[in-house]
Amino acid sequence: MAAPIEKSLPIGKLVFEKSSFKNEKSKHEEFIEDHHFNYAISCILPNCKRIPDILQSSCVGEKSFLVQDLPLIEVISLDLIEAFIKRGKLRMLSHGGTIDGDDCVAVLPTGHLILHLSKDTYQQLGLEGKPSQFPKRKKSKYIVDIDLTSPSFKPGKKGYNRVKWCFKDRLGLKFNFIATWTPSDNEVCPSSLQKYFTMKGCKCKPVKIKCNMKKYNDVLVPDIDPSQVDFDNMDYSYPDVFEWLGGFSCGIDLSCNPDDYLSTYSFNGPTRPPATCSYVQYSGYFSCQTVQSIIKSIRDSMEEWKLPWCSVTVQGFMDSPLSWKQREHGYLNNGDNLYTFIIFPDDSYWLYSAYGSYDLVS
Amino acid sequence: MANFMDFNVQISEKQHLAKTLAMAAKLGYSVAAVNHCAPSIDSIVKKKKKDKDYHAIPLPETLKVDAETLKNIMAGTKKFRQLSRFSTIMEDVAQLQKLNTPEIQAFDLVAVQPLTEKIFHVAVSSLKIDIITVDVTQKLPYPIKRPLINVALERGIYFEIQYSPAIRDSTSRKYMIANAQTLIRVCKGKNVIISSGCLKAMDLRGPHDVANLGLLFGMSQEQAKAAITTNCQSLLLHSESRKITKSTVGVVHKTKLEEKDKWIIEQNSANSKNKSESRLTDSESRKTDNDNSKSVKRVLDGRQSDDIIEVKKFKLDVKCMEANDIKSDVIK
Amino acid sequence: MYKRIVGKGHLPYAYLKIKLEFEDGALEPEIEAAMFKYFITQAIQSLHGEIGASHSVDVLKFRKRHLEAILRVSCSFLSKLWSSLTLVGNYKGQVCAFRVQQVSSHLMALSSNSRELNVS
Repeated sequence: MAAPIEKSLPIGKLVFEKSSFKNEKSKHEEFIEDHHFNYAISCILPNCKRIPDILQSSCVGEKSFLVQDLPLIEVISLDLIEAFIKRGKLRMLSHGGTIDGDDCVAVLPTGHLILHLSKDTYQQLGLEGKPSQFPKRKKSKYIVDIDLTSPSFKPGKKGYNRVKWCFKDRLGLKFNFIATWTPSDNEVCPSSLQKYFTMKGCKCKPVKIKCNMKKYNDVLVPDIDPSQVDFDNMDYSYPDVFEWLGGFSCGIDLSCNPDDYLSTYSFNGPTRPPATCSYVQYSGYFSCQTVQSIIKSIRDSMEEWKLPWCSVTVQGFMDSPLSWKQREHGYLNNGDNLYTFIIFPDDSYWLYSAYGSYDLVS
Repeated sequence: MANFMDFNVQISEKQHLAKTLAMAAKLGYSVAAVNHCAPSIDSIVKKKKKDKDYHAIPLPETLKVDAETLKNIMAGTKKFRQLSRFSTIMEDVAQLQKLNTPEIQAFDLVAVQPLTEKIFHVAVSSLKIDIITVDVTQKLPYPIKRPLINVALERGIYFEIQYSPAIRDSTSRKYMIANAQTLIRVCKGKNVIISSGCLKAMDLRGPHDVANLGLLFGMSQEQAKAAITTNCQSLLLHSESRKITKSTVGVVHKTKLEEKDKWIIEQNSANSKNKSESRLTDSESRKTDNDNSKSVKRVLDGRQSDDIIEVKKFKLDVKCMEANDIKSDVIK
Repeated sequence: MYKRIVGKGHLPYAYLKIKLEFEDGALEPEIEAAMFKYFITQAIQSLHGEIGASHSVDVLKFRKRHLEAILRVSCSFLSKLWSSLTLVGNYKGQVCAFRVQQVSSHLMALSSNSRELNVS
């Protein structure tokens, strides 16, 4: 008996964009800034035998850290708002809970505090919010959005006192947070945030950056022509390239024959002559600033490194309450939110943004 | 959405059980109920101790692994909770009343597997239980009908589908799919929980795998996920209310209020008396007519000047009410 | 110059990262990639019959040492494949279980898992 299973499960979406870094209207910088919580950065460098030092240094030098058991009341303290939120880009994300089961909290550089709460916590807390979009029919999670930088959000005002009372006296909510801070003033050290929390009596630890480097010999790398606009008349299309990049990142042998018993995968498009190809993945927690600087250094050195193209993939946290900007993010059977830049020597780029099952796509 | 829960881990030797619970925690469950299954309720209730067939009902606490072991289990994950559950198979109407003994009601969850339509009817409409188990290893012995399901929905009773027998052999698999599909067609996917019923650690499956299994039974993706999360959560609340069915309103002395609940009194005295009264008697006044509710108010008023101040509804409930009240205040 | 394409409908494939687990302490049998695929096909056939078996499942990657694999399957067949894997109970009489670690419609997403971030 065949089971009546829903025909297909919506488990993800893919958006493709192509443009050029030189294009004045190109929104790549905003795009990177809007993706707040970056878990992993990985690069594929074809025709390259060794990972350039500049990538290594910008990733390993990341100053992100974990604050343990930070009471939520500290997040709305005026000191933090004045000294850090208003003077730079503070991004904090609760760590250790899953978005589909636990309460999650995020602080955005726009000064918004987003609480993604389970129904129980929401009802006990007593702050106004709206039900989450996911799951659609059953309201089981609620989102509370507090603007910390709003002029009326000050001690003494009704709204502030209410929030303070809810955080302090109603439920003593505490979370482990991972945090990065990018000051707007270059002379201030990003690590002063860590000092601030330590001063407040919280334990802080740096987030360890893990590095995974691989070198593959004789790889048949797709020969991508960035000037192609129309995929209709071509052997391959943009999803094929994305699949190839994904396969390479997972360490899959991509040269197999389509008639093979194990797998029918094959890349239909043209390939370049076999060459050594490097792959590197850093994981931990990265600020958007780091992603920007990596993209920039790759763009600057494309010529020097003689790369036909180069891909940079940034993966977000599955359990983040937001994907891009303030777009809601959830977890059904995956919580993907990631993007890949393919950078070409002529400064044009392809951009893939991949979404999971519970995501709003603009 | 709530956390993942598995409400049926069969009792086994402590060492074995610890292993199973550790596996559950590793796979991502945060609550597991240890199940004591009595094949027949006759053998355990109202028999003399000398009788050969006598099996005492174990205390709920003895089912669980001790705190030390639990700590080890929790080492990897942040939180893990174990519950106790009693289940039995029913074939005779005369057995039904025996479920009401305090020993059985003391369990966190009480489940019944009815063998005849009549028992099913009684179980759904009047028994003090939480879960009705559908046997997945053989053909359903009775048809399930929609009106009865509506009663179950109203009373907050859930139907349980176990998946681990289906892993063990293929005949059970056939019946599991057939029975589960029937059940879900009738219930429209509501009030169903999926649990493992596992005997050993390797019978357990990850929560997302189980949710996907729900699709095989004809549930939607969201219903399937609810079957191992939110539905279980509601069951927990249901079982809590089962234990205190006789009282929906509890009275707490003001000196015994928890520190963080003190605001309830403060706010009440700060507000105009009228408002606080109407809030306190909200639930009562809905049911009674005006005159009656006034008298209730007066009684409360009198109490307020004395020492009993706060009428606390069943704790969780009252918190919901308050949150809503507060919300409406803010909007005003 | 600028072009934006939002994929319509579903993405064609779904990818699964799975691991075959045996009981603690049990001697794990040696399984070759071809055997592994055959095992999966058998599992599908036993639950979904001939129609199920007619769908192709690609084993993109198989690590013999850890018994981990990445599978590719058409999106519409995902839940059938998944349920077949869930109901597998033994390999040649030995108790085992498939653990589905990640499911995604983007192969790229399987290259890392943010839930593995371990700070302490």
